[in-house]
Amino acid sequence: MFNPIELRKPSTLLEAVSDLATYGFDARIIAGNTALYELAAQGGLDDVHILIDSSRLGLDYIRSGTDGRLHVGATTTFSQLAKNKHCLQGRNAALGEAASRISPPQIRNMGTIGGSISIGLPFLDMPVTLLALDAEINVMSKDGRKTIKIDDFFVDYFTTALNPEDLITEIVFPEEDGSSEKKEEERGGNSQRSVGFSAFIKIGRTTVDFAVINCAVCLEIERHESKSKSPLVEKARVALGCVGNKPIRRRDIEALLENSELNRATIESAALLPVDFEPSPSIHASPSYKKKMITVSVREALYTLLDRMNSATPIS
Amino acid sequence: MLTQQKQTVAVGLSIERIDGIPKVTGRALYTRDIKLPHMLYAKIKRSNHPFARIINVNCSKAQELNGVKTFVVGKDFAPMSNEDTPPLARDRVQYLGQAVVAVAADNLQIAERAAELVEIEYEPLPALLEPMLSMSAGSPILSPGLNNFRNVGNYLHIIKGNVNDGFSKADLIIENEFSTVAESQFQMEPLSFLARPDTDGGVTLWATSSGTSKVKYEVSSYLRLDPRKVRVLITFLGGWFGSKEENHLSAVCAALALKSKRPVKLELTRAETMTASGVRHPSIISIKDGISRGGVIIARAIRATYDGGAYGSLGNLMVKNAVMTASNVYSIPNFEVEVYRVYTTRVPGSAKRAPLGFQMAFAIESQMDSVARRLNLDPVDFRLRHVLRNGELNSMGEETIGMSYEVALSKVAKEIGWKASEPPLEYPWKKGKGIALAAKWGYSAPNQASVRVNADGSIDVFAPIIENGQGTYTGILQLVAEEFRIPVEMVNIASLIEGSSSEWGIGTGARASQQMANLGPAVIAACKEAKRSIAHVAASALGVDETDIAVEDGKIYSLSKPSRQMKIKDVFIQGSILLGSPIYVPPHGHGEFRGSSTYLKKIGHFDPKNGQLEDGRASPYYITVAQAIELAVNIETGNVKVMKVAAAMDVGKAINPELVRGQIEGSVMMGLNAALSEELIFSEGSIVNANLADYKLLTSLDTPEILPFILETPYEQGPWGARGAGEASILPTAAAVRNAVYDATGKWINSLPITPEKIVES
Repeated sequence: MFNPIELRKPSTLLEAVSDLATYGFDARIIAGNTALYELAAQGGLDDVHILIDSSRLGLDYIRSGTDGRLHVGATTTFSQLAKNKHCLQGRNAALGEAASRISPPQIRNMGTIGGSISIGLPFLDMPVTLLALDAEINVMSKDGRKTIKIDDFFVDYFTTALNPEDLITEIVFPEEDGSSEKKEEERGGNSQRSVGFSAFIKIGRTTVDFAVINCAVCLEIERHESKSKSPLVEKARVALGCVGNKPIRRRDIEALLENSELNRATIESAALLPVDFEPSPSIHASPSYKKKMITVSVREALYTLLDRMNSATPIS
Repeated sequence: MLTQQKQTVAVGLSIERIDGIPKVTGRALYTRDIKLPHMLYAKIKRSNHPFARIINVNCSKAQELNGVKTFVVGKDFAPMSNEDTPPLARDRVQYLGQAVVAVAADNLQIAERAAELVEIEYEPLPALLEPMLSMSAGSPILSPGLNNFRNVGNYLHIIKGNVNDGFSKADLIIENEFSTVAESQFQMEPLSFLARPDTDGGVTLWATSSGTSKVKYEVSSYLRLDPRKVRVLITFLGGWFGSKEENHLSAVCAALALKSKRPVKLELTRAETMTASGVRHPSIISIKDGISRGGVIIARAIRATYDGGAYGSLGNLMVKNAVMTASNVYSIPNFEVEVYRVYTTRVPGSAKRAPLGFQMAFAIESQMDSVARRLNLDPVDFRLRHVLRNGELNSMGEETIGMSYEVALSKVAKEIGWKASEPPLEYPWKKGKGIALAAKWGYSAPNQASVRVNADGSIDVFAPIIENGQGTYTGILQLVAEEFRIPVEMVNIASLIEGSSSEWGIGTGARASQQMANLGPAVIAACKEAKRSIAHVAASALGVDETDIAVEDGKIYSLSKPSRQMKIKDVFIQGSILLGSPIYVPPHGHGEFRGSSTYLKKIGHFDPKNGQLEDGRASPYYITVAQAIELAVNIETGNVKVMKVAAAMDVGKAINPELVRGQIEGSVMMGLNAALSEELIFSEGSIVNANLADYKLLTSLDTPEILPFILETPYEQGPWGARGAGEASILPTAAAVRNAVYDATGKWINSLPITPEKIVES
């Protein structure tokens, strides 16, 4: 039975990582990990005796850094994400969309971005979104700071690249206008910079539900001045949740999209690429239904992105 | 009573419910709120096999834990003559999660640890998880059951006309099979019990149960105690819906208290509650219709098999609900219905809002649409062609009285825009409309009430009313206020403070929507008797005959000479007790101005040969319900968005219209849940989704616009003509959804719930 005996309330990151170093597996951070209660109910926290409150660490922020990247503190709530303009547009739109689809409002007010990736559950909405957005996870421990790329972060069911003494401090999202190589080109006078768009799609049974399939797609397209031309995809990241032990990328779809013009034909062929793996069954959905929903959600995400690109103001 | 012309002061008005503010401010008392000095906590050890012989129970390790006080096991309880469910398993367990041993300890942590340490040695037996398997020859006998059928707990067979003749004359035969699943009642409040050993060797119980008398008599029989020594208090209930029909756990809690000589609290977790409450019976119902060239059903045969799970759990008694649902609404000359309730080694099938009838209404109303569409007939017109007219006999031989099928159906069809052509929705959404009609049976059982008139003209009501959220405290209060024509503030429902007591008389409680229809008349009769006791004393003072006296609005007056009147206070005399303020008592030699009454309406029995009613009626009344639903289906994902539900219910008389509308809305939402989402999923007899994350309930965000319509065709014996209001509106919902999904997609889904996956994959 879950029976914590001590609540620690560190007010600095150093105190927090020192507590983690001292107690290791004996301790858990309370940071809006919305699965903690269920984990406790199933006996998954029977060995945990110390809880560490992360609410005084000053990690609830969303800011555009001097590096041009978006920095989101680990204890930023879904409600904050759902209403922050940086998370509602352009390359990070999927972040706000995913946050606003998490229900009900009570969960959005308590659940945090760091908490929801730390548990390593493949069906939550944040992991798949961060995977598509190519986020980086900044982590601190008593040994110092490190950065984990999202592609390396999720390891298995309930397992991430975090060590027991690690504390997620922030999640960092790439620049709005794509990769750093592009920036080099821009400095070289090339105006053909890329621009990013993203979308999040969730298929559940009821309004307040975990996803049966969730899908996040981020496309970086060549910036162009004319709307008459279909956008040219430079880089694609297509991520799916609820299909296995961790969120995955559909590299076959990404490969099809990259260097293609995004139009109806491309979208249909991308969505209809055969799902050549067996999604894990759950009590909520069979693999066969999940396969169909993968197609539906990828298609919907791509059409949403095409709409967004077409309605975005071309920047000269 | 029904022709009274005077404007009412309480009945028919949507007065604020008296438990509203106490509940939202947290002052209302629930069983879990009550703690007693030196109270122990109990925990139950449950079976982890669906079917097994118990070889040995060893409590010695648990006994060694510091703080463990006592244990009880199956043999501590007497079997009950009319119920086969043991409070704790005796020689074998028949479902996974069945209670086997109960322990009481100083605190919950110790009790939980002790339950873990109890060692039970089992010899597993092959589980019987499907009714068809269980009924087949060679299956082990789970219950003595009926002689003719293996493992069938109850069987009813109604025959009218000759169905085989009808089928042979029919031009078209349409046969379909429908199925429904196990659902939890999922009321907010998990089950809780508190037992206190009393000085006379008896016990006082606080229980989350549907009725005081039920607990009193069941517990006394399980514990071989004189019923006088079992006292029961039922406080507010946090929802019910059939989850608290069984009192085996009251007996377990009482046994622990009597054995340990300490008060004992037994509080179930959500997951335990989902097992201990029993489930809605899964069912398989096949319907075969023979249809004439003119598009009329001339023969119908229904065969329904309900999975009753491991024990009777009232389910055997409820088989007649299925029969009453099938036998009403439509007039079909050749008709037959066979209903089986079959034992399996699963969680017992028990009551959930409109038990057994809900499944039957889903099947019949689905079949009506399937047939109508096949014949290219409008489903509303097709139903109207077949509905029973008042005065006609239903399939059990019972006269149709006070039903409003045509009115109800036409009303909801109109409100939903049944025949209106509307623009299509944007892809991938498709709109559909569906309709369904049903009749909910009533119930008859004894109820007693008494009232006391105070000198200030206020009235105290002592009746074992169960308030599970439906508003019956308020409804009963309105009857009393009306009878004395006093403001509602002048009526005290004694139950409001500490709950209802078994010592106030017999109460059938909150079941089968019966309280208003059966307790209501007892309350009114009690008021009349109390008034007579006042008239008896006032007669000489007013100089008129006591039959010439009315008691109203705090006054006593002569009906023939209205100027002769006095205040209620004037029949009391002033006294004092030591230094206290003056008190008022009835004159020397008179008792309290009090009235009490019992109400019990006789109902008939089925002829065992053909199921026709031998005498009287199967149900004192029926409630007409009709619903029309508009929804949209996402044809890519299969998600269904219900947009509008028009729901009509004929309650005879709405004592409090707002509370009746609440019952309609709640029933519709529960029906939508059953239609679209709710399902207890079993794996090898174990419920794998006994939590809110995996047992999916619709929330307010999925709630459509619900248009409740109250119809009022009086039921002559009901208080002010009232019938029940609690369950009926769940009956048509699932079929109306299924019929609307067909309208949108062209797909018939014949199994509940209608999940997105079924819509996409079918």
